[in-house]
Amino acid sequence: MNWLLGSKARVGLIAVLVGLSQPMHANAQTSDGVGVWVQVTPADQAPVQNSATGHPHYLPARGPNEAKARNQQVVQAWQNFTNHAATTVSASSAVSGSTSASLPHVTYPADLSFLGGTVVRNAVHHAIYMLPNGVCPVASCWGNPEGFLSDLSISTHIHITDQYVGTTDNNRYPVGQRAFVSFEPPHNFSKGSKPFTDADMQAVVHKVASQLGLSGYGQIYHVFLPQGTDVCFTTSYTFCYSPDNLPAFFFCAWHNSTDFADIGHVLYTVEPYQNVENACNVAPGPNGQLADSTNSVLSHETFETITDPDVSQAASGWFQKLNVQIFGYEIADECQTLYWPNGFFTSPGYFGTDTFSVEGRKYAVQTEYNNAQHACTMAP
Amino acid sequence: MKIDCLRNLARSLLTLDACAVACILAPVAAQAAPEALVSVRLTEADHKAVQGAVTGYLHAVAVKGPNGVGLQATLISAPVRSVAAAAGSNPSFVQSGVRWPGDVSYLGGALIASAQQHIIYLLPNGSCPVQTCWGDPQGFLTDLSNSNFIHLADQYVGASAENRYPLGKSASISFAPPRNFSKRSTPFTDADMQAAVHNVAAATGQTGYGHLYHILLPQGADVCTDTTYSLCYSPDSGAQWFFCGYHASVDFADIGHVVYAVEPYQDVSTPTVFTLKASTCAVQPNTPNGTQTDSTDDMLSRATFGMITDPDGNGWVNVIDLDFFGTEINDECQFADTVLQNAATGNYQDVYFYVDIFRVGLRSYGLLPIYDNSHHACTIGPSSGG
Repeated sequence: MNWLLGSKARVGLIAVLVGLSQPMHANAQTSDGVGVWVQVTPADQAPVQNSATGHPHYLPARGPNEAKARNQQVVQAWQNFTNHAATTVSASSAVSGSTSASLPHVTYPADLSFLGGTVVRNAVHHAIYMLPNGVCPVASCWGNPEGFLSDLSISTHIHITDQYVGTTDNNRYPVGQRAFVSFEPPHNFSKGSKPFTDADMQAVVHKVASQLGLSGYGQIYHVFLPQGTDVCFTTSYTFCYSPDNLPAFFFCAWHNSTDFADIGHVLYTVEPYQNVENACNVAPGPNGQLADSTNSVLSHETFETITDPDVSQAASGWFQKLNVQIFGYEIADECQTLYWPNGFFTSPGYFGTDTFSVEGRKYAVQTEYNNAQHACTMAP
Repeated sequence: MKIDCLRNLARSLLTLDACAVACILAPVAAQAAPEALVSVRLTEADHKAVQGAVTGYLHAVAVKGPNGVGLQATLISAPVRSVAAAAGSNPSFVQSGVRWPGDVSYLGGALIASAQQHIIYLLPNGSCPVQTCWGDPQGFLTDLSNSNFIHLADQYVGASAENRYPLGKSASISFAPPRNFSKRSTPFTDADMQAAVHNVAAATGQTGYGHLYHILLPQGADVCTDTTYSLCYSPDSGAQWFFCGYHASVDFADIGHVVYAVEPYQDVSTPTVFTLKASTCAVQPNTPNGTQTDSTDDMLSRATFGMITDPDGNGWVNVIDLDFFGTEINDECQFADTVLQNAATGNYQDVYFYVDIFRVGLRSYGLLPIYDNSHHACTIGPSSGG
C-alpha cells in the first residue's frame, strides 16, 4: 500500500470518514459536512491480492490513443466472452439462445442483449473522495456528484434502465454514505511519482465497504480522484488515466466488480478528474464545466454498472454481443457522441451531451441506449 | 507469351513490383470465356499508371474474428476523421432527444445514382471456371440491380429508377499462383489490384463514377492493402488476416477516376472448431445457393452498396456515434453470434456471418442486411421494415 504512505512514513496515514460520525481527522474538510474517516493501511492490500477481479470496462479518452483504446476494449470483450462461453456450463444457454433463428427482416444494430447474469435492480450509491493531504473541497474539486446522483435517482432519465433490470420503482438508486480518503500526492507521472493502480482503488473500496458492512449488488462505490492524480490498471503503468503523460493516457474512467474473500462481491467505479480538455470533458453547461464533466462520466459509469455490473461476460448483464463492430459495448458506450464547437476535429472537442431536469435543476449528460426505442434517449 | 511472363517475373524480383508477377498466359486455352467476358493482359503501362495514381480512399470489410472486431476503430475511422475535418462543416454532433446511433450522415462527396457494374476475374494460370470458383456473380449483380433490395440506396443517392446498376462487360486476367503466404509467395497488393482495374478500364474507356469494378480473387490468393504485407486478406496466415474485402477509388493520370472493389474468396473459415482464433468471411450454412455462392454474393452486395453510397470516403458515413464512427451502410449490419454449436459434432464454432434472405423473382439469396436510415435499422429492402 505504498501509494498511501509518504516516503518518510511507512505507517498508515490515511483515514476514511464515513456516515454520520464526527470528523476525526486533522485534515477533515468541515465544509463538506459529515462523514466517516477510515484509515487505510498496508494490511488492506492483502484482501485485494486474494480477490477475483474481471477486466475493467473503461471509457476511452479522446485523443491520440482513442482508437487503440477502443480497439482493445472490443477485442478484450470478445476474448472475455468467448473464453467464458468455452469453459463454463452457461455457454450452452448462451449458444442455444442466440442461434435459434436467422435474423428478422429488420434488425437494430445497436440493441443490447441480455446474457442472463445479475443486474442491479436497486442499490445505494456511496461516494469516496480521495483527498490530497486530506484537503480537497468537493464543490471546487469535483462539483456536486452526490447531488447529481440523488437527482438522477428520482429522474425520468434513470427509468431507461427499467426495461433492463425489470423494475419501475422510483428512487431506487439513492445516495448513501460519503467517505473521505486522504493520500499523499502527487501520484502523477510528470512529477516523478507513481500513479495509483486498480489494486489501490480496490483497497480503498474494500476498506470503506468493510467499515460500512455494505457489499453485494445493492451497493455501488464511486471513487473520485482529484485533479493531477493519475491512475493505471496495473503496475506496468502503461494503460492509464494520465493527462500529464499522453503515451499512457487511454481512458477517462471505468467500472468493475470484484470478489473479496472476506466481504464478498463489490461494485465500484473509478472517476478521475474529468475536466480535461480534448480528452474527458464536456462543453460548459448548466452547472459549469467542472461539475458537468464529472456528472456526465459519472452517469455513464452508473448506467453501465446497473445494467452490466460484471462487465460483458458470457453470463453477464446487458451488452452488445451481436454486432461485430461494437462487440462488448454497454448501454452508455453506444451513445457517446462528440462535439466540436469550431468544426470537425478542431480543438476544443468535447463529449456530446443532452440535458435532463429534476425539480428545476438541469443536468448535461450523455444519452443512454434504449432498446425499446432502438435509439439513444434521455427518457424511456 | 512465356517470354513475357518470365520477363515480368524477373522484373518483379528485381523491383519488388509484386504486380508484375501476375504473368499473362494465353487466355483462350485456359477456359471458355462466359458471355461478355473478355480476357485482358497487364502491361508495363498499367504498373506505371499505378505508380502515378492517387488512391483517394480505401474502405475495408472486417473479417469476423479477433483481428476484425477492432478493425473499425483502428483502420476504418482514421480516413473518415481526416475527411470530416477537411469538410469543416456541421461541427456539432449534439442532437436533442432521440438519436439513432447507426444513422449515417452525408459528408458532401460524390454519390453514384446509376452505374454499370463490371467484374474482373483473376484466374490462376488462366483457369478457374466462374461457377466452380465463385458461383454466379454476374447473375447476382443482375438480380441485385433489379431487386427491391437495391432501392434501399434510393434515400442516399437521390434516385429511384429501376435497374440503374446493370451488369456491363466483364473481364478475366490470368496470374501465376499461388500469391499465398503459406506457400512462400508474396500476396497481391492494392497496387496490383489497381493495375488490373487500370488495364480493363483503359481498354474499354469505361471510367468515372458511371462504372463500378469488382475484382474477384480465387481461393488461395491473398491480398494486402499495404506493401509490408501486414494488413491483409490471408486465411492461411491469421496474424495478417484483417479483412474480407475492400472498396476504394483511385485517380489515374491517364484515364481519371476509377471506383473498384477487391473481393477475395469468401467461403473461408479457420479453424472450424471453436477457438479464439476462429475467423471467417463466410455466411452461415444452409443459405439458398450454398455457402460459397452466397458468401461471394454477400461480398458483392456489400461492396456495391459501399461504392454507391460512399465511393470516395466522403459520401454517407457514420460520423455521429463514436462506436460506429467511420462505418458505412454496409458495415453496420455485420451480425455474428460469437458462439455457434455444431449440432452434429457438439463442437463450438465461431465462423459465420448471419444473413437474411431476399428474393428476386424465383431466386433467393442469403445476404447481410444493409443499414437503412429511414428505418434506423438493418433491412433487406426499403419496404421490408415494420
